[in-house]
Amino acid sequence: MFSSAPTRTLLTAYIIAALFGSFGLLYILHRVLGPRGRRWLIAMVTFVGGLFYGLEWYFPVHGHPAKNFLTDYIEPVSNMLAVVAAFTVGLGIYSLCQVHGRNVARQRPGWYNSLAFFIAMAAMFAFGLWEHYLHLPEPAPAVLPWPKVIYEVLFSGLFVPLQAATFSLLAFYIASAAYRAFRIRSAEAALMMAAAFIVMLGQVPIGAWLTNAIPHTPVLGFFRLEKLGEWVLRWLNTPAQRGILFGVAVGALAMSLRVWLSLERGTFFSEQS
Amino acid sequence: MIVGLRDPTVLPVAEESVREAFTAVGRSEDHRPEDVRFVSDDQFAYALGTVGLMQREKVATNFFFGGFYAEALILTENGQALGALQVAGTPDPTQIPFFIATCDYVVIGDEYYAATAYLTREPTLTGSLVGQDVSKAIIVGLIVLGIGLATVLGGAATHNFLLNLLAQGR
Repeated sequence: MFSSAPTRTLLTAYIIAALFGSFGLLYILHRVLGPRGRRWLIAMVTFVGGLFYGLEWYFPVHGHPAKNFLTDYIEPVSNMLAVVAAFTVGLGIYSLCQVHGRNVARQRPGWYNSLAFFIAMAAMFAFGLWEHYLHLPEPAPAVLPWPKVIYEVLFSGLFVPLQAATFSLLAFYIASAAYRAFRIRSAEAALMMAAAFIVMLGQVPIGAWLTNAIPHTPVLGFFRLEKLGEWVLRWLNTPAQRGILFGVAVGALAMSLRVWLSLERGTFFSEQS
Repeated sequence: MIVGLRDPTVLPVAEESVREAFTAVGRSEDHRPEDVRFVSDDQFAYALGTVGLMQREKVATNFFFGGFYAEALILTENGQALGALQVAGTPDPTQIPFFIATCDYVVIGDEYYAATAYLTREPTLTGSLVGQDVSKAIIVGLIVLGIGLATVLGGAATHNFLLNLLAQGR
């Protein structure tokens, strides 16, 4: 519904004007509004935002493509939200720099780790942008330019293997957590152990082999470990999970209503906090 | 108290909440703004950053609240190794078993959304909990009604307005 700026210069002017306008507005609001006013503003923005998305979802749609009087505004509003979210990334980086900067400046124990953070961030930032603006053709040439090679070493050679190594640690953590969970200390733990035993054996070939002697008849076949394991998962586990999900859905709805109407307790919601 | 965040969007809210909590108990001089910090928005970088923080600071208690994925076990197992008291809460059913295996107390499912009301006993929030319970009772009633109608009406159920409404939402 919004047309893009006809020229690059005009687009740049729009962006600069919007930035200055936004910062100016924020500054004025910060100076003019007290804590009560700020809460009122947040409550209003929350309410209008919730009302917009709620109305757009529930209002009847017509025509092809089916839409109502608010549908056209969904994209610009989503873009606005994306811009706000992008600003918060800057806030996150600022928080990181503040914490690690203090560690380096005061030479706290392990300060060299914080220094490594700054070096890593600067390297990824520089070579990430450089690589992005190289505009390499597809498929990539056989000999890559050196900034791209360094970026690949940093990302595919360091970052990705570190992630994979962390993920692989889970195998050991699962084993130790399972040992702790399956120690039979109470009736519930014994029940959990029995269920886990059946389900785990039902998933592996040895389970089927152990009960291979049981015929595939409707009644006796139920006691084959692969069938029993499936039954535990499908008829005991799934209903329990669905029960939890029902509760979560209703709870999330109630929480959304409390936040939307600013009834939630907390910093930005009530006077009681 | 140290708060490690994965989503920078909630950083200002967390900062304000922690500041007000310190003020509310009359200990504003103990509040250190840098203790509310963004760790990383990458799953495993966040997990390792938080584990490092836990080990360096030798934490006594861990509170894990929010949406968790595979990093849940990395965090809680390291907390266990440190001997910290651990309290976790998540509405995600897939992570609840991991928390139960590794934490001392776990807030399960919709209890997650009821925690504030339970702790503060504020009438507005408690009333909302009553509303949740009534809604759940209505949903259970509708499920039982749907099962009954489907069982009794069988093949003719496709012409039943109520059953169509329950099954397809229209």
